[in-house]
Amino acid sequence: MDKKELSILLKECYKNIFNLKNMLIYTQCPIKRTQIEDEILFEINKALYILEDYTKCRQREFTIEELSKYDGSLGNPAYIAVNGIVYDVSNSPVWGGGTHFGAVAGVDLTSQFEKCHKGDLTKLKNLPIVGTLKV
Amino acid sequence: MNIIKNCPIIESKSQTAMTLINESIEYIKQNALPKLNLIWLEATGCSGNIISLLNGENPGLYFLLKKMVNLKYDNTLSPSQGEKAFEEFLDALNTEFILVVEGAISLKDGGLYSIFARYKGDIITSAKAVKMAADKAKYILAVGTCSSYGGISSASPNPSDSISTFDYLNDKTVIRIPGCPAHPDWVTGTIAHLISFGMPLLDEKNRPLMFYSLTVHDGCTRRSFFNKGIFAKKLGDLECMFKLGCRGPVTKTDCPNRKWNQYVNWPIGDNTPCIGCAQETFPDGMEPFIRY
Ligand code: SF4
Repeated sequence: MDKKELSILLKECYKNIFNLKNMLIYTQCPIKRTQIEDEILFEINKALYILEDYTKCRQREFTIEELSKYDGSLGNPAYIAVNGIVYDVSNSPVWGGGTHFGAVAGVDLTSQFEKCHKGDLTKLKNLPIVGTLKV
Repeated sequence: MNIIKNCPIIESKSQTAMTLINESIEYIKQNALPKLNLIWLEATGCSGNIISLLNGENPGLYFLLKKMVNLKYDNTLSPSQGEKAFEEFLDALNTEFILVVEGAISLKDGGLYSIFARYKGDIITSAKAVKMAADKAKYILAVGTCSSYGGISSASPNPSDSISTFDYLNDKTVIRIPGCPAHPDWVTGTIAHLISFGMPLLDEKNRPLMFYSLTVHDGCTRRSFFNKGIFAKKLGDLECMFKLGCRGPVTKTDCPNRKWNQYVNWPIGDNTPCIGCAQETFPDGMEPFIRY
């Protein structure tokens, strides 16, 4: 990622946060409000991850053995690999305790992903990327 | 205030089972309608849902049976037994009735793993009894996770080849009321809605929206811990149990607001993570229930 890409991504985050903030001002329904607040927190998180990615401190190459340490047990981070990219699912709501509909974190889940989500890459869009898988 | 009043979620939440029941009783009185008949069939399951219904509070079972419906047949509660009970079931089929099926439908060896009755030397399987009743029923409710999605009865390796009632009756409109067991309010509330207003609003999986519109996570009392990333490390901790394998984020029910056992408590209030009992893939897809 170069500087120009970074500024485009961050600008998008700022724009989203700004819009959500405006929405919050005009919303009274308490349930809707918590939803919007969540979305704002999510955007902030995303911005932080983008910055961290940029400084490259999170990008690394994983071997299968290294990956298996990040299985979400005992409060460990939960990482999964799909199509050679390693994603962080620790804070994804559908990955409670590092498990997801029978799948466990810490492994290469490419084939399961193909089977269940029919290769729908939008499912991975919002997951932070932490590195690549070494084959 | 106006905006809050118009919010559909809040409005439907405030229509709790009791409000609906009262309205349906009023409706029955005004129109001098006869009480609707109810047939409750137990297929391949554990009878948990009828036990759960017996524990209903607002309204209680007594109230439901006395004022709302005529319970024509139930495997557990019918006073008669044997062939006499089956004859009562056959009689009830000729009336207008709501059918409630709990438990999955076992198909292996022609359904012999779940026998409903023996009548004049014939063996009547649950699958057959459900089909017979479903053909004549006015409304069909699949109560419990087994009936709605297959649940525990059809969990791997599924020795009895069970499928959900919903799939078994795939040519009919079946309302799903998942939960292991289903909350008494979800059942009585839906029945009351059927009596007074007809079909309730259903979501894409045929669950009544008034009870299944939000996830457990949406209304959870520990949600602020989740948002701030503060997690419980072991059972008994008071923070969000997401890292222990909580299934609240993928499970749609109103447990946090409604609570259980006469509205006293609910799993997360008692320091157990949600195990997703009302989720489509329960129990296989919701395992492990707890992870350290
Ligand atoms: S305990 Fe479960 S339902 Fe409650 S906030 Fe945490 S993850 Fe969500």
